[in-house]
Amino acid sequence: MNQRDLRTILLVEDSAADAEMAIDALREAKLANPIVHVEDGVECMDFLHSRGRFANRPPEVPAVVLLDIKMPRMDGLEALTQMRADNAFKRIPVVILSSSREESDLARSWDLGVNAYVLKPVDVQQFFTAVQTLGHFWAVLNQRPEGE
Amino acid sequence: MKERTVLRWRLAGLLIAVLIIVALPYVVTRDSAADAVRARDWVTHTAEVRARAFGLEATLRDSEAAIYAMLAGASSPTLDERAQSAHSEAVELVRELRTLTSDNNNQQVRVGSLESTTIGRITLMDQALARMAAGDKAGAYASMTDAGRLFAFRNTLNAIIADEDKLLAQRRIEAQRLDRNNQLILFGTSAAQIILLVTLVVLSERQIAQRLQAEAVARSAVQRSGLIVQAVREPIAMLDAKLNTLLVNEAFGELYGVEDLSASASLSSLGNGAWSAPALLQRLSDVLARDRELWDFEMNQRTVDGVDRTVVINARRLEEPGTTHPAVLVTVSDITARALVEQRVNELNRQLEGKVEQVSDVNRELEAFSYSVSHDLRAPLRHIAGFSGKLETHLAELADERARHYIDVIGTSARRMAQLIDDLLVFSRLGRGALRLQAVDTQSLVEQARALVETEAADRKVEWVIESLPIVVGDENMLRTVWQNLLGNAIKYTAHREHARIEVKSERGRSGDWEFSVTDNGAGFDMQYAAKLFGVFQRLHRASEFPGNGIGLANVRRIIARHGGRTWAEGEVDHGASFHFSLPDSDLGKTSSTGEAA
Repeated sequence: MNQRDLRTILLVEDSAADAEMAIDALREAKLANPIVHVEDGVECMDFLHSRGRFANRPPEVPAVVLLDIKMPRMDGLEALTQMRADNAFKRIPVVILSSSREESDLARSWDLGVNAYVLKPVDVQQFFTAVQTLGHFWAVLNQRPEGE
Repeated sequence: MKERTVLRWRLAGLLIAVLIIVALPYVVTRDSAADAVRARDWVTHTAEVRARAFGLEATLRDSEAAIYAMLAGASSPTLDERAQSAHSEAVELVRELRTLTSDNNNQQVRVGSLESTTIGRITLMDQALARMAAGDKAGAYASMTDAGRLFAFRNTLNAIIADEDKLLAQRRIEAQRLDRNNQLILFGTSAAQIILLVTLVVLSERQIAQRLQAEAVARSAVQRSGLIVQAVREPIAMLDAKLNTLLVNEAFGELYGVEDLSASASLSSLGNGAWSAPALLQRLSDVLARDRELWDFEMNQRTVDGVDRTVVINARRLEEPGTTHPAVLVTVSDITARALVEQRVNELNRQLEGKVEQVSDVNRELEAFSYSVSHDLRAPLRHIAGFSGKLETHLAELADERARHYIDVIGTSARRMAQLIDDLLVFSRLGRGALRLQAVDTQSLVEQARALVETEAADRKVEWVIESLPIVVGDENMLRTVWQNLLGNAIKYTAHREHARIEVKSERGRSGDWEFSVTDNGAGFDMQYAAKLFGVFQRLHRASEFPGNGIGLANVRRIIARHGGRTWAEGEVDHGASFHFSLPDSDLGKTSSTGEAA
């Protein structure tokens, strides 16, 4: 495993319980990537721009952003919009993790250029499998252009 | 143009007829008059010839008688004169006879012989006179006897007269013939005149009758149009160039208080000022001056009955009949009722718009509600299920049988709750999303649904009877849901049958609808509870008997209702069930948004 494979997995999730389950699942998948958990879109953008409480973090583009939709302050779709509008972040793989299978959520996500839309299942085992597969795919297998 | 030609020919014909009537008798009578004159001339001529002939004889005889008297011893100057008279008179008479008969060669010859006879006789008479003077009375007698013997003229004279008489008779016959002919011609022309006159009289009578009839028709047409104008309910007025009334109809009179409908009055003075609006008067003047038609001019008027009316005024210029003076025809339509209705319609529309606004508000709230349910209600369930699972893992061997059972119930309940929420969301979405209407092949939908449900009953023996099914118009995804539900139910409720039989049929309903049915020989149901079948989360069987949460048929009913169709079911406990639905007959050409509002 080289350096590139160990980029951060950024988890944007306001629900502490969901975040805990997701982090547990990712840990169980034995991924070496560091996992950063932020709680809404504003913090997500702060992290990407290395500002606010992330002002001092080492400059790095995350391997994947796992994004919840419904969050306080800035929601996931708004954060996604800002990322896609920014040359520095428009190629970051973004996976929407949502409870909603509302048509409008799906359509807007795909319109904004999401890389995957994953429904959070109520079944805990399914949820674990989903998150682990996601992490593995985006953090390890996925090949990206040089220099990012 | 054609009429004028006809008129010209008729005039020419009439002239010719008049000419014939006037000229023909003239021509005919002129000829016959000439003939009569000629006949009379001939009579005179013959009489003259006779007179000369007898005159000649008399003169000669008189002279001879005088000579004989002198021979007998008588002597007088008169006798002398008489004896000498033959000289001059006889020769003159012969000359006249020659002239009279100059056109007749035979007579000329006779007159010639008569002349020589006369001259001979006169010569012998002169000889007798000379002998008498010489005293030779015997010689004188002899001369006289010789004259009578040698120069007899009686026969010649008779021949001339006879010839003249014969000619006269011939000419009389000729004249009579001509006369008869003339009479015939006269009769003919008279008859022709009478016929012509009668024809003319008949023709002109007929023409007069036609004209009278046409005039009567025109008169009644005028009367009729007058009646129409008076009877029509729209007020109508005809105005002259100074906007004074020429004629108004009864409706106008009633509405604007005009007593004498044909009296001239200034328009602006009528109806207590109903017509005094300057804008209207200006527009009417424009109609007159520039021939600019006034089209649906809407205004409010208070009429003499004190009612405020909304009227529409139309006016156009025309010429006063029989003159070149411009006039204006003004018609008034009372649209007060219509205006009121329009007002009411507008008000209703506003109310309706308000209601639509309310409905869309409600819809938006529903949307927000289901969005919130979708996101927020499922999360805690996920946490309950997730953490009960983690608890079980965490406790590991510490958990006894009972603890594991509790944890299991918690997880199962959470999952069941999540399923119910999902089902409700689907049901709610079916009622909200727009119908995407298109032609849908029912046959292939049914085959797909059958393939899907058969995977759940792979080890069972199911007899499928699927008839030929039509192409309908509808939302393909929604109709797929319908068939999956109905076939899924049929499979599910025949689970306890050794030999399951499922039949899918379609037929044309009475109003041209398509009616579909799915019939099975499964558990059936009690018709007493048929009304509950299509309700949300309504079940007629225990979950332990047949699994399910009672949303499928509710979805079917909602989808079919949105397509404008009906759903119903028949069944009998343990004797199977039959589920029916209808789809309205929609022409593929006019894919209307049927049932959009359902």
